[in-house]
Amino acid sequence: MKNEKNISLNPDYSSELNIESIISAPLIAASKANVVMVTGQTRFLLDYCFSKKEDDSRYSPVMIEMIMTQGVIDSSKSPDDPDYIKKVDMPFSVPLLCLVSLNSLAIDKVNVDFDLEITSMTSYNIVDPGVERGKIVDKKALLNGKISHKLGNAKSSPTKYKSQSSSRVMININAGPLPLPVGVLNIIDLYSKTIQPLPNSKQ
Amino acid sequence: MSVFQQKISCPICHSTIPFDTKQLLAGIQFSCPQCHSSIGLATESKEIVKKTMIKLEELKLQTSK
Repeated sequence: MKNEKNISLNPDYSSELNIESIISAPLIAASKANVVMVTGQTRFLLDYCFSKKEDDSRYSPVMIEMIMTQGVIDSSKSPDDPDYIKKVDMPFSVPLLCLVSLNSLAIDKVNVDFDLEITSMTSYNIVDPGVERGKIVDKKALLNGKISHKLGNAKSSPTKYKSQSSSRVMININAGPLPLPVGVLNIIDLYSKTIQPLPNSKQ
Repeated sequence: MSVFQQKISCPICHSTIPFDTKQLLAGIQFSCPQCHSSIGLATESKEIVKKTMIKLEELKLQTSK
């Protein structure tokens, strides 16, 4: 990580902010973080679970061989015969994608906690340049305010406010493994349904 | 209830066979709960599956940093 010494950070907490910007900024950051995580996993899938020929733009899945073993009864032999039940191996192909334990890691919960001191409220007309529609609301309200900062416990001294250089915006992010995207599940399902064991030619 | 989270469709009866990739790489076979056939990984495919699993673990480590 670069050590940037010449940059000074002095955010102006006294400036008025649009409430939509305050709420959307951390959510946009979380969605960008999600994009980074999904891109990494997609890149992994394309690099290792799919292959692409030089003269073809299409990807094809990397297939692996598995073996199915089944007991087969030889009716020509008696039940006492040790070869009465014979184990037969049948190879079949499966996409490598079916064996890889993919976890779709993503941010599933974002909590944004801040105290906003409302300083002004404005309204603006809703402009619909498209086709005329029946409008329920003609105007929208817009709240502007300053992120309030307070010292101590709000419950014990709710009226004590002091000017200081820090403000309070708390953002809690919870990320975890989510179910695989529907698209990937469909691809796995498609290939799983077409699995056919190939009979072993050698007897 | 199966301990293994990964599942594959049985080629014979199309029911789901729970399995674990790491145990497949170790040579363990998993049996179908319906038709009792067992599936295992072919020797020639072990290398590519092992390589892919190593890369997946590296990706998970990078994501967690």
